[in-house]
Amino acid sequence: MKLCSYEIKHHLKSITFYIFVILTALFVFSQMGDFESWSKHPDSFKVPEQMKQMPTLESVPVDKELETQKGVYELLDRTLNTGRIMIERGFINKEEVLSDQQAELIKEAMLKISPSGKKIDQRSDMVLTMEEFEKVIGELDDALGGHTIFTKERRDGWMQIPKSAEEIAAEEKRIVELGFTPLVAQMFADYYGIVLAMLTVFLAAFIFYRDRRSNILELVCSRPVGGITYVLSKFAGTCIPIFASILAVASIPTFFAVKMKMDGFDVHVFTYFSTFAIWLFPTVMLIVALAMLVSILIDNPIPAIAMQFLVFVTSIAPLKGDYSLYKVFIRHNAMEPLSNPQAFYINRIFIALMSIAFILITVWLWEIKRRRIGERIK
Amino acid sequence: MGIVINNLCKNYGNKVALDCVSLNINNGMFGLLGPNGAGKTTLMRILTTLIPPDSGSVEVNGIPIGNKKSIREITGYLPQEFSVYPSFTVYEALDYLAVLSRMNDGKQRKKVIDELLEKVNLNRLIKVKVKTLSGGMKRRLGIAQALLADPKVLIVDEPTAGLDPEERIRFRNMLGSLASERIVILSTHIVEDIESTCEQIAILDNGKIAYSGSVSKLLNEARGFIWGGLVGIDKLQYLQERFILLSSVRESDSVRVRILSDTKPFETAENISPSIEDGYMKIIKGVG
Repeated sequence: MKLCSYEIKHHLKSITFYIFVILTALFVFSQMGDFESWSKHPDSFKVPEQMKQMPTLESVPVDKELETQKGVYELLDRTLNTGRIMIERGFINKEEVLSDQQAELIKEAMLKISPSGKKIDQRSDMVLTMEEFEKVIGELDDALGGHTIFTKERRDGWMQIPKSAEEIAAEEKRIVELGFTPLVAQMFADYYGIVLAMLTVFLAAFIFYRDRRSNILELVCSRPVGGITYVLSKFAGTCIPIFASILAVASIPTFFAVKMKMDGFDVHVFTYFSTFAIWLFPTVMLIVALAMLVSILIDNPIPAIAMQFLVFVTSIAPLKGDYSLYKVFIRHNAMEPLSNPQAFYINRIFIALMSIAFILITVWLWEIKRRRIGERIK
Repeated sequence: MGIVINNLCKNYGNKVALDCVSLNINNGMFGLLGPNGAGKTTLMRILTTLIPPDSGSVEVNGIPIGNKKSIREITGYLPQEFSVYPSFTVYEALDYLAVLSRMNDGKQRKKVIDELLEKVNLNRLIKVKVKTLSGGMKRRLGIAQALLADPKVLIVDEPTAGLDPEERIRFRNMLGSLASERIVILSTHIVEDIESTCEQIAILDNGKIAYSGSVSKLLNEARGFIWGGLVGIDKLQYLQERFILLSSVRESDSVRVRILSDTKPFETAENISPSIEDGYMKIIKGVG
């Protein structure tokens, strides 16, 4: 505990930490400055603008099949126009230049979906059954080399399909259950996750480098302290001040939530704290653990930063609805409930567990390096 | 109780750092002398578990060196380049290192630190940042940190390098006072440090033990090999080229020389009583 407090002290004495806090807070508040106005206008709390734009129960029932064919057709058309195709390969979403041959394949598929070449706007424009449609898309995906975003498994995050009346009803029920504030907190957490994923590494990558630069390795490694105590204290001592900064940021919208509560509105006063903790703490833990692991493995802080950039790229898109286990931070750029809360929670638990696994590997590596540390000191 | 080193070898690639070193070190002050690059630091680092030996055995108070945790519990170490996080104050530095030494009781830690700071005369500087300390103060802080866990073995590597004469004397005296209740290994290339503090010494040269034993034995072995006398200035170059000139001091038109040689170097030369430095030079230069 005492070692951890010294690590915290290191960060609190470091200018980098304050730059980190200021940059994250600035980014978040510049993106989400509206929370204050929401709290000042109770009417918009009751019926938020964002909700008004959503289809209601009275609206025409959504034709899911039509919307799917329409959406994919538009996605294909956009791909042809931009000349770039998005490929989801493993952990990385990669945009590649469309070759002439690939463009021809897409054109052929589009002709099969709409022989007239017209966009699909109504049911009568559909010439293929859904089964035939999925077959055409599957064949196109194979011909393009696989992993395209047109297939059933991958396209959800890349196109907007209006929700069915049943889905909307279920969502509205959940919104009522959740209250409005948690949705704001989630969107807030979405932006916060992005900036944390970008900047946390700059605090974490230099943890071991600081020992080397301060020439303290001989003193540390000749003492009886165990690797697990030493590395875990550094990990916890880095995470805790970041967590504290997140909670400090959360306290500002919480202040307005308290005001709303005092005005008689049924808001979840502490939702910013709980939402931020669940959304962001695992992200911070993983980034810190990964940076520590890479920096001790390669004995250099810079590759950890490069590695973090790759991790960032894998999680930044799509903007919502993807809770894959490799997503280090969750995107949810929408004022609506999570489409799959269970998958979201599994992701967060998995990411937290992965960070623990990474830290344990770091402990092991530290102990291995410690055995011969004297050979590396001049 | 003591340190027993048997046939200890360590190579760095093709470079032999320690070549079958065997030593017995008992309670009290033990001096390890040798030129730069002789293997002293490698030996110190093996004794402090910072480097694994390639072969041979080391036992510290009966504990094999492979039992790193136990060795670290009983060893205090002041490395050649003593440094801590520069933003720490003197007190924080000692407290941090005490926690690393697994001194978990906060009150006990404070008591020990206060006592040690008084001992090394830094008690008025507890709130001063380490980076602002002078070289001598830093060395004293270094000794304090090495004594935190009241070690049975204290290893200090080149502790007086870079200190002014007054600080060096103070530091040597401090080390001497610590040796009554533990093994203190003083590794240095400065012969004066050994002269005034150590009874038992070893001389390392090119990774090998060139000498091991008492200071008086070293002096005895050098007896008859040290010559002194006055020579004309014009003869100085001749003597330098043919003998090992230990010192030369100008005295009006002549030069008083001190020479290491197994034969009489010049007509008027007289045998003089050797110093430890002379004994050291005799061993290193392989004379006699």
